[in-house]
Amino acid sequence: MTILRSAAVQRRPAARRTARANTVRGLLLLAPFLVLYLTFVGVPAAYGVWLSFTDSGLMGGGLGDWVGWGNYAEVLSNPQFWGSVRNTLWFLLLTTPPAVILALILAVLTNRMRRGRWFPRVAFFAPYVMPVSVLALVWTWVYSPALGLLTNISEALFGSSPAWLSDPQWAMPSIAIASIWGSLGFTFVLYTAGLQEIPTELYDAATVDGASGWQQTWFVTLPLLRRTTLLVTMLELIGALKVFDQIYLLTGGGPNFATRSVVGFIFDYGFTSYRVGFASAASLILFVFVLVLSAAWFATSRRLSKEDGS
Amino acid sequence: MQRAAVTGTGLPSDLVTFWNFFGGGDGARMTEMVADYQATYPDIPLRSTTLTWGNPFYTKLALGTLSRQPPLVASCHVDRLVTPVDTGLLRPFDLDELAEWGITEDKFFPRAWEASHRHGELWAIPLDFHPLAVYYNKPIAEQAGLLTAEGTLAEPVGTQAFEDMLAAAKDVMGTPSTGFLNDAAGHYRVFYSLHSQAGGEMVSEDGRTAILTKEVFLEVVSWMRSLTHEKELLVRTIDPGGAIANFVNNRFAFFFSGGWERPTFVDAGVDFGIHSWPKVYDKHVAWDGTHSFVIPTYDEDPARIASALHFISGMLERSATWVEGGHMTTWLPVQDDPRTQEIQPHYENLPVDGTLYDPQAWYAGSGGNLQTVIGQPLAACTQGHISVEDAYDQALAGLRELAATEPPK
Amino acid sequence: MTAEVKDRSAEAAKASVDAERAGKHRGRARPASGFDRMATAVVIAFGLLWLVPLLWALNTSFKPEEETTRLPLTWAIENPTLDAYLGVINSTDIVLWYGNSLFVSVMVSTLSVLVASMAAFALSRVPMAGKRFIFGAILLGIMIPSQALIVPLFQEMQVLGLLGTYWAVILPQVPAAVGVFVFKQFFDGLPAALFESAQADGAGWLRMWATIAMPLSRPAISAVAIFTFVWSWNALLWPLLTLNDSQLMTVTVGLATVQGEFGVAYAQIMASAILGALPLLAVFLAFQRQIVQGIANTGIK
Repeated sequence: MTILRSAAVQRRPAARRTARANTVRGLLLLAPFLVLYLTFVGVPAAYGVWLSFTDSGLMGGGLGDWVGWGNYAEVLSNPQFWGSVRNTLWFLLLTTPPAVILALILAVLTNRMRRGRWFPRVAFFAPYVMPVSVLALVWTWVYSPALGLLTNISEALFGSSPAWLSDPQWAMPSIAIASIWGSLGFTFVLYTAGLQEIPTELYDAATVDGASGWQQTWFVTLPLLRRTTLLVTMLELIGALKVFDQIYLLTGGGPNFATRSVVGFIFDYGFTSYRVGFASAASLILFVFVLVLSAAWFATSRRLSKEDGS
Repeated sequence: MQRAAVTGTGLPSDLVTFWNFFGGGDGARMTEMVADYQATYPDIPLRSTTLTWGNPFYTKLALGTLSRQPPLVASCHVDRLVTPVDTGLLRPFDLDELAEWGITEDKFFPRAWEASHRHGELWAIPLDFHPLAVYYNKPIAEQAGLLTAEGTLAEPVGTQAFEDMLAAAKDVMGTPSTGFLNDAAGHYRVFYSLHSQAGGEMVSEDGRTAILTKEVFLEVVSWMRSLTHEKELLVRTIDPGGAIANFVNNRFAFFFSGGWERPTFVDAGVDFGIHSWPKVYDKHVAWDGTHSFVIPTYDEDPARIASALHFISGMLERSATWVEGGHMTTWLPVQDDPRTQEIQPHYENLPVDGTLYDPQAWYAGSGGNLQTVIGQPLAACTQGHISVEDAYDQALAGLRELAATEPPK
Repeated sequence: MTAEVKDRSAEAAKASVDAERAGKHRGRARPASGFDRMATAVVIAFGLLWLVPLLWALNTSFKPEEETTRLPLTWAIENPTLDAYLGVINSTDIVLWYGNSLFVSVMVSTLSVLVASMAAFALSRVPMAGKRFIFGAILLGIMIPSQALIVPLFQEMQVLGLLGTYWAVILPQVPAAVGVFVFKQFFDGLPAALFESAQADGAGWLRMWATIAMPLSRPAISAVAIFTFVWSWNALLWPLLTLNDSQLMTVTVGLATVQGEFGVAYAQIMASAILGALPLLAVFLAFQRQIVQGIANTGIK
């Protein structure tokens, strides 16, 4: 021991050389990732910040004139932007709580199944591995005005059917249903993994104590799923803030912009109206929203892990 | 091809690529015309791609050009020319060059030819025009005494005559004989026609100032609303699909739209006629739109331009097929052909004082924002959700916002 | 924030393997209660409900066109036919799209695995300066929504002259920060002794990454590979902006942009949807367990 240590002390300059060599080699290993990361995340992020202070156009070529905070002022005073924020929050409200609760219930119930657990796994997860354009084609057909499956079911049950995707009141809920259908499998699987962490002994003990299935679920399972719930809620929230694909394909943001999300707003202004400076400012505002939400989640989960003593 | 996308080189240089937005009945006819062209010239390598209609199409056209992969020829609504022209997306047509292919001004319906110009240059070769019309069910109209001796619709001149026409059909059927289509475009087309007939203006010439003549708006929209409310001559709301189904099943005597629904009704075996939107107010004008061909800026190779013009003239020559789709062809050699005249039923008249294109503004045109900001409050108004005054305020606010926004660049 | 995700996923991954075993054991030990039976019934009912839209699309795709517009709707098919599928294959470039998607997704997932694992190895094993800072910067990247970068990234691609090529689609998807987390967490868990002895034998870091770390990391590799593959296969917004030639599009973009020449032919539209879903659905059914495990491992979209 002592000999080793004194040897180490004697070799200190050499060790410093090795440390420097290690840093260089480490950076070389990191280089492919970092170069791509800087080129396709770092540079556009920085460039986007700069663009947001100019009145650059998509077709104009080159940068526009410096306009200071002009774009930000315009975005924040643009009723269309706030409309898109409202739509995004409405989508968030329509998707996150139902999706999380439904996935939780289904995962808990699946966990009680004796056999055949592959069935819910396949049924709920299959929509998740489908391209969103397939989701859109399928749901456009299900919602189709005269011939749609849901339209006809609704007519049979209630005598009439909403114009699912073309009524401003119904369009967003209809999109939300299709979205939950598509993403439930992912949340379901996360809950399933969370459930499997719960030690079997706890259930055995509860059974010995005479707890019913309901009681076991309520007093053992749910409290131990708190952290999974925090995780999936966060993923759903962030996903909802960034929603675009299914809306673009199902309604294009209509009718009368009733379903245009913030990303849809950025897309429309950037690529349909060609106002890239303005769209970049809107993008940065979106980034700030997401960042604030992420930070809030970080703080909360930190506190929870401390409480859990892990 | 795929290798090109890996190495970043362009498309095979002799390939004629054509992007269009024609779906449904139009799509079927365009496919037929393209296939016929290909059959006539089997050696021309040709690829036609149908993309999603409306804003996504124009976005794709811009992005394709920025990617240096634009199509050689694209379809375009002439009321959507402002942005592509002003952002340098399109190549203007050279009249001498066109003349070599026999494409000359005297062979076109003048109004559509004129609408294909901007800043004094020709940017598009118009294929058709399709003004707002009243489709009418002939047996019902006859029973209601609405036909002339020739068996066409007797032109209802003025608001009273228009109401009498609707009332007569309602008497025969017992229910309102049609409705304004409840989408933004449906209301917009009717409103734009009526508002212009009564001398109203929407925006200044350059599109940068909202006008929307208030007293005209209030008069026209109050009248539209009275038809769906007090007078109960029109149903309060009907979506385009529902209106089509009702017209097909003889549950509607009328249907308000451009000529492009013709194939649907012909296929369904309806006995009907197409009458241009009548003169309800002072001037006989009606909303109109034109599909056209454009050449995106990219290739200045004369051989490529020649292939493009060859394709375009090939389409014009085949436009009799297009006429079956319910459009009027702009190409007079085909329009004047007796065989084209035999395609019936078709537009039996045109508005005497001319047809109306959308204002020249970046936000106007088919599937554009203007239709939405005007059409949506109008639809809400005729359905009874908001008052005429509120509809005016909403429409004006939307229009002002569009007019105040810098055009794309 | 992501450290949390990572920790949790690590536990979840391990736990789920254990639980799979334990679950079987539990099944034998505990008699099925009424609650369990009710649970089974509810889950199966929901599962069936979930499959209805897909089954309806499948049903429509086998109908001749004239049966698709018949009212009242029916699941019965008088003359089942594959015409719609033939129509789609003949009138669209879907076969080319498959190839394009395959190329793009394979490139994205291969490159992602390579660069992410190398980076993670350096961050996990190489004693180097500035590690925490670099890791922090990569962490930040997870929080930047890629949708917020589309505008400047598009212009950058234009300057680079990559628009319209697969590289415009592939390259931005390669530096997936999540991949670095998954690998780093996995490498952190490998016994240090393995590397110490290799180092004593004079092995360099690159060799240790290639010959020791990677062969031991099959779960991490498959998790990252599968997910980058699926995400890239299903990506819409970015490829929609950068791929403009109909023959170069991915399946996802092609189905979203190009209208086949079939207009309102519902059977053909549904056949195209089924064809679009098929490849990944097949992969999923084949690798169900690994994929589900992979989600538990990564724990993040």
